[in-house]
Amino acid sequence: MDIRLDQVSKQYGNSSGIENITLSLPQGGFTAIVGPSGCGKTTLLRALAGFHDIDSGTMRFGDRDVTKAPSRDRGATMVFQNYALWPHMSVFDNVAYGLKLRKMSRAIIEQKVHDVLTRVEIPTHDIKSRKPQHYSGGQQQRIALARALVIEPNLLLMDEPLSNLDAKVRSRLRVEIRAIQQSFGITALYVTHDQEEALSMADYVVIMKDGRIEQVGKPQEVYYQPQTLFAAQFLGESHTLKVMKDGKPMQLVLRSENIRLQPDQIPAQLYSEYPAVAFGDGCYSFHAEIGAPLFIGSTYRYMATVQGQTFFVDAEQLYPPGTYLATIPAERAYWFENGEKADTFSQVI
Amino acid sequence: MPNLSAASKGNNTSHSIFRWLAGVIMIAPATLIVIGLFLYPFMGSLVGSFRNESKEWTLDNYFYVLETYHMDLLFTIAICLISLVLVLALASLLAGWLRLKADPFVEFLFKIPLFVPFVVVGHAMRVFLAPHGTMNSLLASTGLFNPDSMPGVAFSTLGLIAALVWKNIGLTLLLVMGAFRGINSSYLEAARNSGAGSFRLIKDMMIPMSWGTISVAGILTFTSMIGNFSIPAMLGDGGGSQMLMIDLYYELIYRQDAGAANALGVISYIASMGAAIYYVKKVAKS
Amino acid sequence: MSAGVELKQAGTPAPGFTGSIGRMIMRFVIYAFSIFLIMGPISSLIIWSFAEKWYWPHTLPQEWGMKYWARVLEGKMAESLSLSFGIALLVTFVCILLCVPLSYLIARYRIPAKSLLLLIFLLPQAFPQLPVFTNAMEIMYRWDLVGTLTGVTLIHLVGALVFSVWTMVSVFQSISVSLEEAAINLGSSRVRTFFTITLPIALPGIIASSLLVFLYSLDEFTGSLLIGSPFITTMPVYMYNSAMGYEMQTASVTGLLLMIPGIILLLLMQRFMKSEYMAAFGRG
Repeated sequence: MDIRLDQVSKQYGNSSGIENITLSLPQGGFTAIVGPSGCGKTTLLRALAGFHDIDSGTMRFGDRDVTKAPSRDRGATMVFQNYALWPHMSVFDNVAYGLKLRKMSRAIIEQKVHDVLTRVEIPTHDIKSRKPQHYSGGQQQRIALARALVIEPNLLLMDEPLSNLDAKVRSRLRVEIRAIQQSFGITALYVTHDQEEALSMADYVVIMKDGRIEQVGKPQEVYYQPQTLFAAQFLGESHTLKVMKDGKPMQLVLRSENIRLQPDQIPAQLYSEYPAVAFGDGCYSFHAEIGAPLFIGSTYRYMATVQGQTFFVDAEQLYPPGTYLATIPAERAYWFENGEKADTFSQVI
Repeated sequence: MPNLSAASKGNNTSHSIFRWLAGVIMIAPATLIVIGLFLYPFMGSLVGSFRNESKEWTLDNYFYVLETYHMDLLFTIAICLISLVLVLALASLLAGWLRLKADPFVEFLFKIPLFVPFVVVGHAMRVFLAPHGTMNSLLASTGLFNPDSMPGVAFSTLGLIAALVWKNIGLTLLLVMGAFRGINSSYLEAARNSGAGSFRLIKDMMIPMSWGTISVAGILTFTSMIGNFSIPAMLGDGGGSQMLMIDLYYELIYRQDAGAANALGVISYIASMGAAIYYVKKVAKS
Repeated sequence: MSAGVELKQAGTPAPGFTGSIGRMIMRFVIYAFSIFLIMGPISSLIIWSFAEKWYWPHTLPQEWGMKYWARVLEGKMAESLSLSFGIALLVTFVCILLCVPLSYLIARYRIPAKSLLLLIFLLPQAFPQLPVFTNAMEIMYRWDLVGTLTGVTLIHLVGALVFSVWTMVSVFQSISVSLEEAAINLGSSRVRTFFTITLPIALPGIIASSLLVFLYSLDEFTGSLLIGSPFITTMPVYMYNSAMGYEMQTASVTGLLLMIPGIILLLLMQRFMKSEYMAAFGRG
């Protein structure tokens, strides 16, 4: 069943409202919403869960209009950042709660709870005696996932489910959640502020800012072909430079890993208020001053300065400080003019 | 360096005497008042309950009191338990509703009883619930009831319960609501999301999660009801069974039997043991 | 998907409509219930206080008037009123004087037998006052304090001290020690730190606690009845006497007068109403 949102708006006193969100979540797909805090991503998720009414617009689950349906009738279950496993109930009772409310028989409940916990790899022999708080964070989040999945929902909602976990558990659980979602074939919507999480887990990535959708697409699309200045700036280790190109002031968004350095003795020439960028061999280039290297693990990071503007360059090689020619492949340079995407690639060719 | 420590040591002794004295001056007056006018008389009532008029040790006071007032004792405990259950149920439902839909008006309304003195509650219930009281007048004016066949509950058991519930709802609601407000919203949203309605949110989530606070509220409310004198003094002189504190007052003032009054007092202390244990635990924790 | 989900999709009514009507009815029922429950007894007092003539089975008084309110200003009731306010002020003043340093000491310093001290100030909250006060009355007889202002003030102080120690200790405990340490670190003495740093921060809490002590003393009944009679008649005792004598109007006027300070306090300090402060108010 496809989930469709049409012109959904919800205004809050503070800045985290949403405006005219139109979005469709395909059946069985994993969609991740990513954006800075206060961009409205959680508001959107909670509107879908039915935790608050929306001001205008419609939400449809398949053929059914759920815009005004209460949370319990939607079949949109939520996995919370803090797990929200009820501390006064055993693991079994936590998972069985939704089934009991649906007045299923005891035998069926037992069966379903054991099945779903087995599928999320929680041992089931002591689930009736153990409380959720006696499990590790990663296990608790899998129990929460089981609780959400056991009632066979139409839509699985996840609100930053991994941000309370430490880095190692988090990266393993990314893979596990993705695998569980695929094995259940359930439509999922996942909210995160961590772009790496969004890019690595999702079929589709939605970038939001100030309550609006900036861009929707497959992970590679949104990463390599950003359509808005914000999308370009938000993903990757991105830096925005104000430069002169073809005599016009423009914004150039570049990512640290795409910049190559060539030693060059000629200091950058000052043309005007902004540095000038040259084009040749399918690359843009300009002069920049490189500072001392910082070792950040697999690569070195350099602070680079060009006419008072700074950015980072990541390179595997060790360079002494000095003046260098920085080059970026044309397809990895994102151009904007007054904040609007400038279609320079065609001009280049 | 050694010089310095020697100097400060000499300084320290006079300093510590001064500090010790200042400490005593700060602590003593308040402590002495509480010891002299609460703890000492408290011990006095314990001792007095085992003595007769000629200061001989005896258990007669207890035999007399249990023989005369055993029905009143049961009556008192029953009244307090019924009122307690009603207060806790009402406070839990209201606190749950207020947790879900914040409503400052209703919240304010239920805080009023907290600040209405016990005697005033007693009197207000009397004029409200008496056979010819305001409520019966109101009901009679609707024309649906025959005014002469309606019960007047003021001087009976129901009036007592109504007054105790009314006075205690403020504090109990405040305590329970504090606990409910402390529950992270995501627990409730997860339950709503699983299909629970408002009543189930209260019954399955809020109450079990706040069980500790609710039992503390219950213990404190129960002992306050047992030891309450003003409300039954205002309401309970209509014959039949009496509250324990009224019996105590009667024994002391009208029968001038201090031993019996003290025995009744000790029985009321035993009924308040729950609260005493709670406070001792609280001190042990801090 | 599963059968359970199919079921939910089939034939749903417009849920928002019935939902919001249901919610409105629910809210209305709760409002009506709350207003009846809380205002019912209070409104009886108000009606009685203005009733000059009221005989059964009339729903409302036959004659309304301010006659009984006018009596407030004259004679016995005015005497009780000023007496009660005087005692309450005195009790509050003594409480602040004794409890601010004591509570600060308990909150901050390691003092010998601290648990015992805490118990002395906590246990009075656990036990009924009447049986204790009857024995306190005996002690006061020996010192000729029964029926005197000093006696009534002392018996009020017992409950008031216990209450204010606990509220003030929690006020001082809520102030971070590091704020004081920062001042001492810069060369301030302990006494100076207390008066320039701790006290100003604690002031709102101390004021809240003192207002509640004032109210406690104003409303105190059990101790006043035992120790005060027959010469010292505070407002609650005056009210009790008139109610026992079936002077409904006088009792109602007194009752309303006793309620007013509490309601004003409630309006003033909604935000200070922490439950731990209030536990002592469940006594009486």
